[in-house]
Amino acid sequence: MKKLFLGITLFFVGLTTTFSQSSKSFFMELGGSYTTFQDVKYSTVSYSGVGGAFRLGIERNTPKAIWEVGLNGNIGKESPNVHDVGAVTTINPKVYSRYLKKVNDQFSFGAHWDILGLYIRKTDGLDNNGIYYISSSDLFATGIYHKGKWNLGLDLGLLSFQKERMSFAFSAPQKGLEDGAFNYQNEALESPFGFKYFTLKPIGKQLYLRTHIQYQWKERIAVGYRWRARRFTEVKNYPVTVGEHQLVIRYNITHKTKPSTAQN
Amino acid sequence: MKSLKIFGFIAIVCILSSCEKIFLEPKPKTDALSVFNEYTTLVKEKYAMLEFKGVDIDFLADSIKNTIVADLNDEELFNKLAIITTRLRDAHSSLIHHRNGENSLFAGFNLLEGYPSGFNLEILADNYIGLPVNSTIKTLEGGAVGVRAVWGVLNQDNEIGYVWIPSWNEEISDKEIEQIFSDLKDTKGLIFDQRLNGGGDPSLATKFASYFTDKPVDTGFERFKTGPGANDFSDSHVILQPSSSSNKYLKEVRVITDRHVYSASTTFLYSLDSINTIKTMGQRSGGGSGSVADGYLSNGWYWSLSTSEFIDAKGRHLDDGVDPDIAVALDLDDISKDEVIEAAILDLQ
Repeated sequence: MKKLFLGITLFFVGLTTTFSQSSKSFFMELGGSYTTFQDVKYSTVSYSGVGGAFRLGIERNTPKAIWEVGLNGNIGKESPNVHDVGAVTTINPKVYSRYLKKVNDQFSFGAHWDILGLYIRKTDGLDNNGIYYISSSDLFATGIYHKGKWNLGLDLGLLSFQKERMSFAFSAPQKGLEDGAFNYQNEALESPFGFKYFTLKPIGKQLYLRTHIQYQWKERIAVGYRWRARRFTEVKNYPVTVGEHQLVIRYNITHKTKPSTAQN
Repeated sequence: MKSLKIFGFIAIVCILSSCEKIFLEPKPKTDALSVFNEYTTLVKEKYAMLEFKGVDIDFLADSIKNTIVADLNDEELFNKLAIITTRLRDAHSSLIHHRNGENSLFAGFNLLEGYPSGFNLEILADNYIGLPVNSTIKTLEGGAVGVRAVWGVLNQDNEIGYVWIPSWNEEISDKEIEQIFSDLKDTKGLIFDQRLNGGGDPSLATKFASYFTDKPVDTGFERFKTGPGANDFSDSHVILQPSSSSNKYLKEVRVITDRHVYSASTTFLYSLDSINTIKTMGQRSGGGSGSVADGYLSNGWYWSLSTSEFIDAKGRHLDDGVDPDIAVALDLDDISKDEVIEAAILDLQ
């Protein structure tokens, strides 16, 4: 698995260094988010609430391709939908990269890779189940439709390599328990980055969708809306659903354009 | 055709952006019967020791269900659910009306009931670990009881060491653990006092235990509930790996227990159980061998349940506690000595 990640990393690094650029932006996004969560293993109560979203990234845009690397995330507070105890704090940072080939003036298609993301939930008043996390690396097929100042994007999750802390009945990954690997000296079981207990979730075993709409308001400023929904099961018939809406303003801290000299 | 593609793409983006709520399960009901059913289902699917505790959850739920009527008030409904909680006889399993509320309704198991006290801090301080009577004693300050660890050499036999960890629910750094074992390495035997220690972090307890062996130790296995079915269990065989420290303590050790010894302290006990140099002395332990899950019912009540059970290398179920290798009672009328410590000293001499 490590070789697979190394290969994908080299692929993206290669892409970013082999084509010429016609514009390059270092940008930040700030905005608000509305998030939703439900883990049926423990309850059909769902949680939702608002928070803040941010993104820092570098984007290169050539006549033939778009690539981007960056860091994004959100921090929020959620409340249960049927009672008023156990507020939840959520944190969800991610390092990502994407590459899209421009098919024509209007369509670009490619891949988006959330290289490593950590989705953490802290529930007030709980002890062992107080901390929930999903650590994952997610690969998407991605497409963008460009029309004037508008960009509309769609990401379809193809493959996730992930670890959910909470199993059917305890705060340890389901795979670790089913493998009979639990003991208090097994640090890889507890660590969000203990890759030994990650599981592969290809498309079909989970649903992971994202959309984004962006309007380029001024040369350096754009406004955008993002949505994502993820649904998977580690235990059959007990799905976990995570949803998020973001409304953001993007500001290009630096934005350089050059005459096109693209070669690939 | 091109327009159709564009329209299609825009339509997909807009439709998918509509809402993730179409993927969510329906909001739960919070009427009395729904909450009762939710709790009984949780116990049935997640509680790991129904068989060991002799609880027929279906029969129990059916026998109570007929009394759940729509106009039950909160306290009446709580008391119905509490019948199930208390029937588990498990101090890890509780039901609380308002987790952080004062005078909240509480249902659980009192593991001390029926047992005499096996520990007295005054006797301990006045005769063994108070600085006026023992200048070798060192402490780690802090924690809920004012100290996180107490250790030194006992005056009653200047070659026998003593350690008391009042709780595993404290931070004790690797460096501090090293200091404790380094200070005690030249003693000829050690009394490890577990009394009053109701648990906390099992990882910390296991770290201490790893100092008492120089080879891997088969400690038994933990049976986790991994699915909703009655037989959906998975066993994790637990091998205690020795500490890499050069200050491991491989000489004779007497671990003193009382009824408070529970949860992570039971983890400490079963970790050491197969080591020949170690014996337990004192009172029957409290047990609490399971790992615990917790959450909120749909009406906001807090629940916790044991979702695993530990069965030690001797095949013993530990959840109701275990008798010590050498039973010794504490005489609270005689404040000049702690009979359990005295017996441990004699046994180590």
